[in-house]
Amino acid sequence: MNQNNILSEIIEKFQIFHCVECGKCTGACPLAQVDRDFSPRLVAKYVIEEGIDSEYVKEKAWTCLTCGLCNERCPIGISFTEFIRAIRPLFITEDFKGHLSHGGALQGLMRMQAAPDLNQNRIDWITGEHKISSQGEILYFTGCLTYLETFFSEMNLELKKIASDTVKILNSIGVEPVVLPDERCCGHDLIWIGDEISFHKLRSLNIESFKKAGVKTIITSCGECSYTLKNLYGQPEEDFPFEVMHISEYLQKIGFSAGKELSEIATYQDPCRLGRFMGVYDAPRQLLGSIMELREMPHFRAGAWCCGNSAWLHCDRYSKQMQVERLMEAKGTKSDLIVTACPKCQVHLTCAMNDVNLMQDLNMKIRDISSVIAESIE
Amino acid sequence: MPSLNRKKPILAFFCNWAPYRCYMDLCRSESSFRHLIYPVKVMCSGRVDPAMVLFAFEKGAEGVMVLGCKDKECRYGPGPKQSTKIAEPIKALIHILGLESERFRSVKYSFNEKNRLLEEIDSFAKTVDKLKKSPFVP
Ligand code: SF4
Ligand code: SF4
Repeated sequence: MNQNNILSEIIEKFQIFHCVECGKCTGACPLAQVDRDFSPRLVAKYVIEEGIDSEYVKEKAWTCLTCGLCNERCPIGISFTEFIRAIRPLFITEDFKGHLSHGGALQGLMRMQAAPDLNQNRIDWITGEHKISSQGEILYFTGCLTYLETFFSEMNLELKKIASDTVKILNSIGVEPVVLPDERCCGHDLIWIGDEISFHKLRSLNIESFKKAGVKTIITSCGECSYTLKNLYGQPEEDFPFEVMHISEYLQKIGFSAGKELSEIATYQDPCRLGRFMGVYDAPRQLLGSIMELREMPHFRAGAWCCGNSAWLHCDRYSKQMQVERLMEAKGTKSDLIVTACPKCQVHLTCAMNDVNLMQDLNMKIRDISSVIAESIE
Repeated sequence: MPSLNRKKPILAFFCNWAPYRCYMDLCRSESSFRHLIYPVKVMCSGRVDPAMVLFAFEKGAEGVMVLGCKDKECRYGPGPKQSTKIAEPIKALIHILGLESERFRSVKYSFNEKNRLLEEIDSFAKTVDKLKKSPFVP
């Protein structure tokens, strides 16, 4: 089947023909507000009219943040983000128009984890205070925290502490989770840049180790890991179903009550994967609300603005502008800190805070929900 | 391009100025080392970013060297400092991936140090040969 036919099938599957050209997606899109060239409505239009050769689609398929705000507004219910994910593999050609941030180093680190015989040193944050097991029903999937903290060492982010704090919270309720020393990247960023081959390698390696450890429930501390493990791992092996939950969902489910109150005021940044993609809005808010005052930014829950990037694609002046605006919103709430549930939101927003010209206006403490909860039970 | 019939390939990024000058001088007088490395010339060692080094490892390099000018001898200014800055994070990253951090080396030269370059290449190749094969196959 040639590329154009595959594209037609995808257009059919996602019902792009039903688009009524209302433009609500473009109106809602945070990228379109700063980049006047970008319009999801036009992507839908040109992909139908010009197919695989459309210069516009070739380029804009990569600049979309895949934040999912447009999906919320489309009256036809077109899932634009899933459509973008489906067409990206077709546009990995010699004429590749995407731009991988950091020279593609992060995607490289993820691809390398697909090598079968690895002996990673990714859990050096585990000390005597953590109780973990090698076999059991509950697994904590740490994700890329160790890699990200090291890669962005200049930013002094405490990302490994998220993993450490998540295990401490679980220990406090008597759970000794399995933590795999050779866990692989969940593959989120690779599948979103169209690299399905590496994604499937990572997926099989992970599923194999989940099976070996006898896992039934997977807890994550990252919205992207949750979304990927739950929706894209597909669980084809009928005999091996597993449940996936973000730590906040898990704690809510078991009726966890956090410890002492904290004096700080917080505002919560909804990560796109955890919020819009998985509908988890209440659990983190309830947990945080029980230990500290929580204030909302003007754009929150399903309308929350993006942290400016996804899958390490296209970090440009538009991303910066979106991040600055988001930080201004956070500042406007007069909170002491931003709490989020995705390490990448932390990386992106912290990067914008380091802007030499705007530093004073944007600087704000940013922490992960696990670290805040762990502090309350110390 | 020297033929590379080594089982454990080493990639070396040479800054165009002092290190590449040393390399060319060495090529005129010596041939014993030429099968040891794949040379890649860049305009400045500061141009080499972690992505390039990781890509070399991903594609099967057993060791990677970045050879730059000494700090004060850079034609452009901040190049060598930049390459010093990325050295530790690169070592830390390959360590997390399970590779030994000795597989990466960043060294600085003046234009007249061809013998030091020869010693360095030799010693690096010996170090890499002692390690077991990298798990990354191209
Ligand atoms: S996913 Fe986000 S960036 Fe992409 S078109 Fe929709 S609203 Fe715009
Ligand atoms: S919101 Fe939906 S129907 Fe309206 S232009 Fe966008 S894709 Fe088309």
